[in-house]
Amino acid sequence: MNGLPDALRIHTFLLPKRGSLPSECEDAIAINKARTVFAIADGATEAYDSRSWARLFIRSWIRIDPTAFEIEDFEPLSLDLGRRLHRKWSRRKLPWYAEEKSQFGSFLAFLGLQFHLVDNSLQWRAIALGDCCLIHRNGTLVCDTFPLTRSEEFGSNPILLPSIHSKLRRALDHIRQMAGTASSGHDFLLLSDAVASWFLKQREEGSDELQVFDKLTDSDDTDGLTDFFEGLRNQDKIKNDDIAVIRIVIV
Amino acid sequence: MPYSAEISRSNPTCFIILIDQSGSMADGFGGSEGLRKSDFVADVVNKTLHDLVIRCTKAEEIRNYYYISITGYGGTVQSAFSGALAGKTLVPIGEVADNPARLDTRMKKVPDGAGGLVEQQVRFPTWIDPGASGGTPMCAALSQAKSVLEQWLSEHKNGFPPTILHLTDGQSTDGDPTSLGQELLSVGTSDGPVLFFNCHVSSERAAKVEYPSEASSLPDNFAKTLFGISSALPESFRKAAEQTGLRVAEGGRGFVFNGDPTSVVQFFEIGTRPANLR
Repeated sequence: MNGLPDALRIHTFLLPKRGSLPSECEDAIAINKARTVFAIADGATEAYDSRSWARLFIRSWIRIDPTAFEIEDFEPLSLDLGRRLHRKWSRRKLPWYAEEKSQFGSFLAFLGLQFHLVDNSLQWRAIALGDCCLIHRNGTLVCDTFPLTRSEEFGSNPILLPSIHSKLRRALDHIRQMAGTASSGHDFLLLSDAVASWFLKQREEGSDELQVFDKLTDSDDTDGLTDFFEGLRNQDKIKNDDIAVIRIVIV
Repeated sequence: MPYSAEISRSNPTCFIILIDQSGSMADGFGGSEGLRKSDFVADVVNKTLHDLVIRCTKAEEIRNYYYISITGYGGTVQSAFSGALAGKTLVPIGEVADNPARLDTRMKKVPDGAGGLVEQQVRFPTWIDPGASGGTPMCAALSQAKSVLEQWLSEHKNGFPPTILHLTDGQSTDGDPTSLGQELLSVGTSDGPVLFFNCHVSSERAAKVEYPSEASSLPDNFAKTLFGISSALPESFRKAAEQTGLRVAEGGRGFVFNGDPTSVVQFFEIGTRPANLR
């Protein structure tokens, strides 16, 4: 499997919650194809400026070399980026409510994935904090789900990555890591919480809707996917939340 | 399922706050000489508005998830807003945020994230000032709420239903509020009837009753009247009450009788719970 980046077919999809503009979407996607690094983040809706935190964090995480999978690399990166974000806020003249809320910081759920070749074997490694979810499949067979495995695990209050230094250490204790191998024909889904919860529920119920989802992502049919998820929202089959999807097919 | 509508800019909800500002509100809680009820209640309402503003703050903008009406009733029945909002009946939360009558600074202890507390400077905006004069024209206040509701419901048929938070320290002096209260409870949106919560605070030392599910334990007819015009707490509000340390039976109503200062704080915390923000 030479030329690893070329062995990966990548599809992405981002949809803001109903009633919000694309520029207000707090889910974010970042890809460094050359280094085969992928990440999604879900900024916490109730926190301050979560969109900025989500975008800043994953855009930096995919660029760092070596990729920050270990706590000792992840912690200083989080600290540095959190400080950068708070400095950006403090340079502005904010209204009283923004100034006050910014003191409580911003939060995000994070999922990162990297592929690498070892002796011509394709290996992957993932890191997660919060309820963004990785699905590894071989055809229709689900090999791994990480870090959550069942639809009912969503909905509680997950531990998220804070931009505030004082809250960081405790959050880092909840980081999860996973690694494995993959072969041609496998695919990987990186999903933010609402779409991950929906996906796992469909899988538990053996629903045909997953085939529709696969077909639409395969063909990069953004309009089709938008209509598909709007339809699910209208039927209350999926929570009205931002949606982030990265699908990586090993060719 | 009722009371599950999302609250968004295109589908906001409203809070109607009715504050008794009769002469007896100048007395202390539970017969004490200390804390005046009117001062404490104004403080709690200002803190409640502050918390709602912070909840709706996304970045530098405020999202108008909530609209606020505050009526004070005593010598007069009128909007209780001071400053630039004086006289306004219903105000989007963004306008509330940008127009406090005063903006003071206080120190507050907040969790430091490592199990301790740290002192942090917080702003304390003031939108309403204490008031205490005249009688208790409760029916006039409920009529004012009805007028706000009628306008709101004609424009927001499918949103999270409005919540009325009523605080009083005495019996109505302009008639029996029962039929007006029942009228308020009988209207709503496709997501459920209007939520009407009542909190009574007392100038006398008396046992408090919080969120009862039946009227039999109530001490007098006035308490039973207020109980009769109080909504049962929806499940999410009941859970909110439990988070404040209260035990509320299923069917418990949004009603407090002979409440003390803690009851007032909890009443506003629980009553402003709708947080399904999008």
